[in-house]
Amino acid sequence: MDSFANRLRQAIDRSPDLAPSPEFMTALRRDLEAQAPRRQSRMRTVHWLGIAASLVLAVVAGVAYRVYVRSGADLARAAVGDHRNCALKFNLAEKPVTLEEAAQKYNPAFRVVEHLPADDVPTSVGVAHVLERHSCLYNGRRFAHVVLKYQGAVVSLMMTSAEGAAAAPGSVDGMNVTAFRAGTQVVFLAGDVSMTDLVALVDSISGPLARALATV
Amino acid sequence: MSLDSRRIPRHPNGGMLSSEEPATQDRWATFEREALPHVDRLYRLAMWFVRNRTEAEDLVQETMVQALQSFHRYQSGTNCRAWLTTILQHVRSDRQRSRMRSPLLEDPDDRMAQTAPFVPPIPQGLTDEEILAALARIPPHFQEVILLCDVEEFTYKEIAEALSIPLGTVMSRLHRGRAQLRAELDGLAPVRGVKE
Repeated sequence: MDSFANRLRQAIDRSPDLAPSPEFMTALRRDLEAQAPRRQSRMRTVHWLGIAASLVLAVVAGVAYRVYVRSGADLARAAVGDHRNCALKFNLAEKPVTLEEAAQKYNPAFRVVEHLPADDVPTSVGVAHVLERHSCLYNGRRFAHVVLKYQGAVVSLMMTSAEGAAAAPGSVDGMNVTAFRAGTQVVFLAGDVSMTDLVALVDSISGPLARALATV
Repeated sequence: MSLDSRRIPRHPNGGMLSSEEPATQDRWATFEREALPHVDRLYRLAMWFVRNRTEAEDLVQETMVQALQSFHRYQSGTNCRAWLTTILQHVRSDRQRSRMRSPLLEDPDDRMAQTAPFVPPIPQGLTDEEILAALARIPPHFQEVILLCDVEEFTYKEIAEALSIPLGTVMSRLHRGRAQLRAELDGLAPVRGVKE
């Protein structure tokens, strides 16, 4: 017997009739970002040296922790497709290869994912454990793929080169997905966990990953 | 769109932020990190209530714009989804009132604030669609509290603030709503031949 609340929550979360369209999510985010107040007034009084230092730090760190939008619905779908077909169903047309091999042949940045995130990732809601690391091809797009066990579910971290665009946080094809940009790469996280939990995982892994990728 | 700041929920700390927050942080980045991840669930709630995609999108759009404009009232790290849901409910009730022009009536449920924990199990074998259909058959004011309590996991106090109703009404609606939902689900179980 399932608990009342869990069963009801699942029904709500899985209902395609209640899901927002990717187009709406993208448009909403774009509108909100356009209306967002930026640093003003008091910021002007900040010493220029501080600004310069911040800029240098930002460049060195290469951290662009921005869940990222534009026209990235296709890329997000590819990431969700890879998660489903590789991590959940083991149903890829092409056998995955090691990250080292993929780094040599396709994308040197994949080498970073051999060690990051660490095998155990503490987050504010629990620890995520790495189950598998490899590189795989889905729908013509190559990903560095880290499969994790997190909050009782299988969650995928998928990294790919950043040409094109990324995605708004939200539900894509019935799967929660979020993304951030790190250096020249876009990193997706997808899984059947709540968006809050997914964001907690992003909080834990984005900094080290982005710093490492900035040097590639 | 007019923004009535009195309608925006204020955080219990009075809306005061730490000294470095508004001026030295990019408010958008914080909003993006804390508020945007809840849009999916917010939309599902809106869609459930209004049953119209265009209206739900409009509702969520206005909610998020108000939230962004009032984000200085939100304290980072607290229950952002509850805060957003409260705004959503205010926007929704404002719209309903302007359509219906009817004053809020005292709820007769106030008299019955039974709080015995009654959480009905859901028989196995029922589909998502059957569960949602059963929920849809009970009165909307019961649906609201069940969704906010059992799906969103808000506290009674958060629900009372979101719906602008007394705490006792939240509890009585929850009690009666769950009982009605249980009856609906029990009615389905024999038809499906499932046992609890």
